[in-house]
Order: sequence, then structure tokens, then C-alpha cells
Amino acid sequence: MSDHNKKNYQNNVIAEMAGVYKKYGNAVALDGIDLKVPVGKILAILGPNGAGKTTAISLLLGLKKPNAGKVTLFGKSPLLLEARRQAGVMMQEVTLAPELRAWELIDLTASYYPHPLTVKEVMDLTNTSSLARRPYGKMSGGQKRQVQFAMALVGRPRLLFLDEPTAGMDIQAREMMWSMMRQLVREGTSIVLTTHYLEEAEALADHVVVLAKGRVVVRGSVDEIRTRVARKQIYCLTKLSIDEINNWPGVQGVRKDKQRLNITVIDAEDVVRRLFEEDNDLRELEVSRAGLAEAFTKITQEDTQ
Amino acid sequence: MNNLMMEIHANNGSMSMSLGSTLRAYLIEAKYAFISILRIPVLPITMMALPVLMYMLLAVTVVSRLVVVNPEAAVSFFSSFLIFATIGPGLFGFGIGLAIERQNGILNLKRAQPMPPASCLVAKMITAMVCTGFTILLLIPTAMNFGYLHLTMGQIVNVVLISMFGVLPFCAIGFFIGTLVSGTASIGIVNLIFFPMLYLSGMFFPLPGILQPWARIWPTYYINQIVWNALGVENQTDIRICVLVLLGITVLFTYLAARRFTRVG
Repeated sequence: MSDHNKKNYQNNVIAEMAGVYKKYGNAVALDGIDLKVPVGKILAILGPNGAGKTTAISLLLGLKKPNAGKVTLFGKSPLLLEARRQAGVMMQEVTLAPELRAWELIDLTASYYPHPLTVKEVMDLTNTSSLARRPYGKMSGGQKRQVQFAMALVGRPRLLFLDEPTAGMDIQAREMMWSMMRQLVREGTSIVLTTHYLEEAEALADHVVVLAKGRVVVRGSVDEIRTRVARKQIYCLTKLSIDEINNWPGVQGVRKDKQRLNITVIDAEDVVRRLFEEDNDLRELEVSRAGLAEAFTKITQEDTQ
Repeated sequence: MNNLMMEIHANNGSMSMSLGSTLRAYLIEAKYAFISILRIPVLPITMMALPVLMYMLLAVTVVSRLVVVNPEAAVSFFSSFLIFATIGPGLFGFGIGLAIERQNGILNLKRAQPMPPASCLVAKMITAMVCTGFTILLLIPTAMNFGYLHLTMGQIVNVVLISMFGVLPFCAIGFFIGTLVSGTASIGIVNLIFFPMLYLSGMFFPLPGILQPWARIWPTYYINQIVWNALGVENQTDIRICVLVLLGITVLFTYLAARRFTRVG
């Protein structure tokens, strides 16, 4: 372990990418990425399709080598088994053997780790005991994700890579997994999360990194990223027309959202005041600040332009 | 649940695996490879039954006439079908099976999950060897009852071992194909190799003079020579050369495939 890696690892950085370039032929997948995964935190990596999320995860897991730059996992090369034995993985683009049962898949995964939990322990922990004897091919999408989560946990990982962990899950199962992830992090596990559900990142992540075209376009906490978008949204049922409101000062856009109008504004108070002045019958008023989804769209659009 | 959470975080041990734990990982991988085959037995049963049934059909109709002219025809006919039965588990079972696992992302997941590097391949090689062994154990009584073949116990043991190890070059070629193309494409590619190899190695039909020297480019030719030697028929190429060529093919294709596998997954 080099002095730099050792220092980083001791400074609560569990995995790191420094100045990483990765090319596929002539296409640049990662264009000089710097990324640090802190201990005991959830880091969400977001970005549109093709932004480089999967490549970044593949490099951190040692599945690919960078063309330039350095990748470390627990202060070591992720190509080393000793580094990867401290990580658990849940991948989205995987179709596991349909004929094997849940407990068999977990048992097989457990055999790759030096100090695994027992299959029973991890199934109790992840509430998957009822699926133990069910063949993987006969499970619903959500149940498959639960079993994959159990497989990711069985090796007692200190770092979890979760790629779209709750895709296809019903609300109850998703809430349960979120609560488990929060508890794991409270106890000291680190999580790298990639997700298309921005509300998932919003609910869970301590840090967010947004990638676009292989570069980090923004990084920070969910609140920091949200405040980059100063806009607010007003929803209401009104007799006023779209064209009329569009001409008001401070209004950035108006569109019909089912029955209601959706007005994008900088200063909500002035516009709400004027709405009441001009429409006595105004109903179903709702004002919300920008969510991560909106911030994400704006940031990635800006970057594309 | 809290106690179990604490269990997860009680992981402060060494991250190296003992030899025993590594061996256990290989055994568990092989165990589940066999369980998978037993639960979806269509492909292995087809691979095992096809050479035996075809042999039975042709033995009754063709061999009975051939052995009158040439008593050694029974051995060469049996040897051809033994090799036919050996190619299947290697190219189709191992090669296509691996390509499908790669297409499904299973191999990538296992690499990320710290699977011991070769355990998945070793498990598949062992299952291919056992499937071949079973097929030959079905083929031998068929040949002794319908194919005018007379084998001593020693010869039976020899041909079973030859076929079980003979599957390895085909596993290596299958491994290479499996790392080059997707699961779906691999079926076509394997068939493109399988049928020319059966014909052009001169096992089933006499080759025209111009093609005869080219029979030696196929691994099937060399296994055929080894089987002939084991069954007392005069072989054309030194057995040591045959073993070396087969070993070379296995090492070369395993190396090429492993190199590509670690580069592109």
C-alpha cells in the first residue's frame, strides 16, 4: 500500500478513483474522474444513461482496468481478491440461474468470503426466509432483488455496491430495504448506490455525485444540489390562461398538468399573491421547492448544452 | 435483527482464505453446477442419448456388414462415436453454457463477488468430464451388444479415462468461443465448428486424398489415434505426439480465453 493510499484509507476514505480515464475504442466513458467513497456514508452516483455510472462501478470492483489514473478499494487495487472480499455487490444486469433456490444461491456466494454469515442468519436479516426453497426463476422481480441483497450481505461486507437495488419492488419491500440500508450505515457500513429513482437517492444518500458524459458535473449533499436549482413549482386550479400567466414577471414557464396548471417560478410568494388577486376561485394550491429530480434534470441538461 | 446487524459488523478477521476454505469454494461451485444439470436435464440427456441412439441405429445396419470385410471396423466405428460423445459436453455443454452465463451477467457478478478465479471453470470442466464418462459407460455396453466390439476390463477403464480427459481440449475451445461471442451466437459458432470437425477429421467417412493431410489439424484426429491404440488397432501417429498436441490445444485456448476473460469479462 502506498503512503497516499494508506493515508486516505486512514482518513475514512474506503474507496477512491483519482484522475481516472477509461476509453472503449474511441469512445470516452470516463474523462478524468475523481471520486471518494467515505466510511459509514451512502454515496449515490447519478446520471443519465451512458454517463459512465456502470463503468465507474466496474472499475471500483476491479472488473475493468482504467486507461489512466488510479483506483483503490480499501487502500488496495480492486483487482486483488483481498480487497473485494470486503465488499458486497448487487448488480442490475444479472440473470441468475433460474433453477437454483434462494438459499443455494446465497450458500454459493457465502463460499467466496472468508468470514460469511450463515445462510439462515442472512435470510433472517433480510426477511427472505420464506423464499429459501423457491427457485430463482419463479420469483417476482422484487423478490429477486431481495435475494440479491441477501447475497450482497452474506460476506459481511464493509462496503456495499448497490445498483438499482429496489427496481421492481413494491412500496413495502422498498421501505424495508431502505430501513435496512439506513441501519447498516448507522453501524458503519458504507454504500455506493446507483439508482434511477431519484427519490431513493433523496431519501438515503449523504453524498451525491452526478455524472454526465464521463465527467463529474456536480457533487455534494442532496440539499446542496437541490439549492443549485432556485426554482419552485406552483400547482393550482385556476380560470387564468397559460398565456396570461406566462407574461407575469418572475414566471419561468407554465404548463398544463392534468387539470391543474404547473407554474415554474423563482419567487413563489409574489406569484401566489397575484394569482389570488386575479382569480377569486383559485383552488388546490400547492407550492413545492425543487426536488433532486428537477435539480438533476437541470444540471444534466445544462451540461449537455 | 439488531443482533444480526452486529454480526455483520463483527467482521474484523483476515481477508485471506485458507486452503481449506478455497477448496470448499471449488467444491460448492461444482456441487451447484451438478445440481443445475440435474434440475434442467434436457441438454445433458440429449448430449448423452444422441450418440448412443445413433450408434445403435448404425451399428445394426452398417457395422454388421463392415466387420465381415474388416474386423477392425468395429473399433473405428466405436471410436468415432466415442469422440462424438466427447465433443458434446465440451463444446456445447461447457462452451455454450459459459457464453450464456456471460451474457446473463453471472460471470461478471461472480468476479465482483470475489469468486476464486478458476472455480467456475473448474466446476464446469468437472461436470463436462462426468457427463462424458456417463455417456461412454452407456456407449460401451451398447457397442458390446450391437457393435461386435469385445473389450477387456482394462480397455473399458482406458477408454472411459481417455474420453473424460479428451473432453478438456473441447472445453478449452468452448471456453474461448464463450468469451468471444454472446450465448445466442455461440450456438451457431459451435455448430459451425462441430460438423466440419466430425467430417474433416475422417472419423466417419473416408476423406478424399487431398483432404487427408488436413485431418491432423483437428483435435478429434488425435483422440481417435489414442483410442485406436488403447483398443489394439495400429495408429498412424505416435501417441506421445497425440497427447502433446491435445495438451497444447487445451493450454493455448485456455490461455487465450482467460486473457480475454480478464480483459473484457
